[in-house]
Amino acid sequence: MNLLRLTWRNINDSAFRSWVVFLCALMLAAFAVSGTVVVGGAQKSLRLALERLGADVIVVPSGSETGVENALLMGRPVHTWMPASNLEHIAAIEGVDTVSPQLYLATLRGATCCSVPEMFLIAYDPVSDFTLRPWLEEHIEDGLHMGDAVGGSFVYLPAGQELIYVYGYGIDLRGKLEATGTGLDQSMFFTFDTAHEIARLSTTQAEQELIIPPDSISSVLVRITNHSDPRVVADEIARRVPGVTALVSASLFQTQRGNILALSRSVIALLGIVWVLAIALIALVFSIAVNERRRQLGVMRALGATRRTVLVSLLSEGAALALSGGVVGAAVTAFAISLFRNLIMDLMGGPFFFPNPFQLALLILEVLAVTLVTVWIAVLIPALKISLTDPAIAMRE
Amino acid sequence: MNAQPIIEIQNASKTYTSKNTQVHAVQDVSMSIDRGEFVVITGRSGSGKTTLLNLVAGLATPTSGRILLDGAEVWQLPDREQSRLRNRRLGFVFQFPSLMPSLTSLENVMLPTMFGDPAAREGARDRAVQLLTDVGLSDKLNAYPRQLSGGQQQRVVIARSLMNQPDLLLADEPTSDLDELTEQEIMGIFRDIHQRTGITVLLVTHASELEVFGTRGVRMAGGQIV
Repeated sequence: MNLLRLTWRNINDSAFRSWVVFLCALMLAAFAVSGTVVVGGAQKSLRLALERLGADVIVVPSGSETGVENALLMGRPVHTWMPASNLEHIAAIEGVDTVSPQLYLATLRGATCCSVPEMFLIAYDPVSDFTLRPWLEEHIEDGLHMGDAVGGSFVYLPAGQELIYVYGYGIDLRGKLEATGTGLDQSMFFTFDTAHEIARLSTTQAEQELIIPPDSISSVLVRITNHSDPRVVADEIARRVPGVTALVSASLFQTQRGNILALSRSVIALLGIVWVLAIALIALVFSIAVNERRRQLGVMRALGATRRTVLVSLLSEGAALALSGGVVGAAVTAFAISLFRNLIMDLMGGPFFFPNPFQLALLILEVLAVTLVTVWIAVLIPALKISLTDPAIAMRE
Repeated sequence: MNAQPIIEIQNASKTYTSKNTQVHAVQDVSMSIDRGEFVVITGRSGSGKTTLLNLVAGLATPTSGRILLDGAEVWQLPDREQSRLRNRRLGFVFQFPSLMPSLTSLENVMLPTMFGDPAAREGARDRAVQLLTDVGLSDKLNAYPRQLSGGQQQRVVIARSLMNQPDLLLADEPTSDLDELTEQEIMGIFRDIHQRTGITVLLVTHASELEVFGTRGVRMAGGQIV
């Protein structure tokens, strides 16, 4: 016979009390995990998307801002073009340090010449690029050659194939970038040369020709000089280059930021309400249960249990219920979020970064700690009260 | 029989206060109990006998006066020492059903060892089985309290009270809820334990006819010894 066993027996013996505390802990953990994973993951996604972009300002044809943002965030392909000569005009503007053009393409839907339907494809200029270069220097020393590509973390080779076919052209997937939780994870990057070669061969190899308008680009990524203000530079670009919109990176994805802010406020408010209700309910139910067991606890004191033993015994019961409810709530919620991730993204209108197993385990541990402290706060007052009561008074009817 | 007092009660009083009323449960009681005595305190309901027992056991704080157990004042000890004293030196039999409903008879009897010295847990199971056998419940080791009659439950409580081989056995109306036959059986067990082990017994009851089971009778009324 030991305290652990007695705790377990008491949990089983007070079924109603135990279920209420268990369910409160479960709900609290579920809210905490879902709120943190979805809101925290959405914020992280935006941050990683901006880091992947690596530019201070992104210049796109006027009217295509939303399409480009959706492409970068959700991986929904966008077709937008502007004259390549814009590159020189932008480079000449004061405060601009580096410029690099990109082409936005997409695979075909329902065509046998493409391994994956509607994949967002980004072609970059290897000479001027500053977004992929740091990663490539670290992971692929000789860089990407004709026919090579790197993919987002969710780009896989089709089963049984060694190449990914785009407009009938076989592309060698040389590596995969770290996850961002955005549409970029399902996109593929290759050089301008590869893009033009795909377009050239598509006339004979693909079900439909890939058209890249001559002397055209989709966007210009701009890195500004030190001490320059990106807003001033963006305004200057918009003023001097006709037909383009210059988006400051820090101001990108405003719709998604607004959604996340509103969601995070709702989650915090809801979490606060759930937390207070959980404490109140657990405290009430535990008080009733302790009152019902006053005699038992008085007898325990008469048999030699110290005040501390009684307190520890009740806190142990609370801890066991908090941890079991917390584990179930956190694990089931994490599993459900991973299962319904796409649905949640659609409802939110934006992506979110799903944590890796280590981060998830850490989060669950943090949530369990919060759940445990919550239950202990609720249990502490009735437990302290009974442990400080004279045994004779505790044993009286 | 060793004549050295095991309990000395010196001018002990206990007053319960609730809102506007005060109840003087025990008033200025002094008495001593020698080691090896079997003292039966009798009195009507509300006479203060249970409160006096609780004061002796250290389960209630005296409003005034002193309670000495082997010369040591129980309420001057810190909680840890008080609990240790109750665990090692006192055995309790209560009027109400005091078994833990979630534990079997055997586990209930072993319960006091959980709060004491871990070394005392060695052989606890064998001792608990022996005690349950002594009170005639060798076939009820794994029965839960709800599966036992009132008399059987009190036998388990008596076995539990002896688990740590206490110096003093305190019994509060141990037969009040039992029929006459069972009452005689339970009182017989107390007398047998007293005669066999020489343990000091302090038993309170409203039934004055049970005085004959003890070596000394004490009567209480209105919170005082009469």
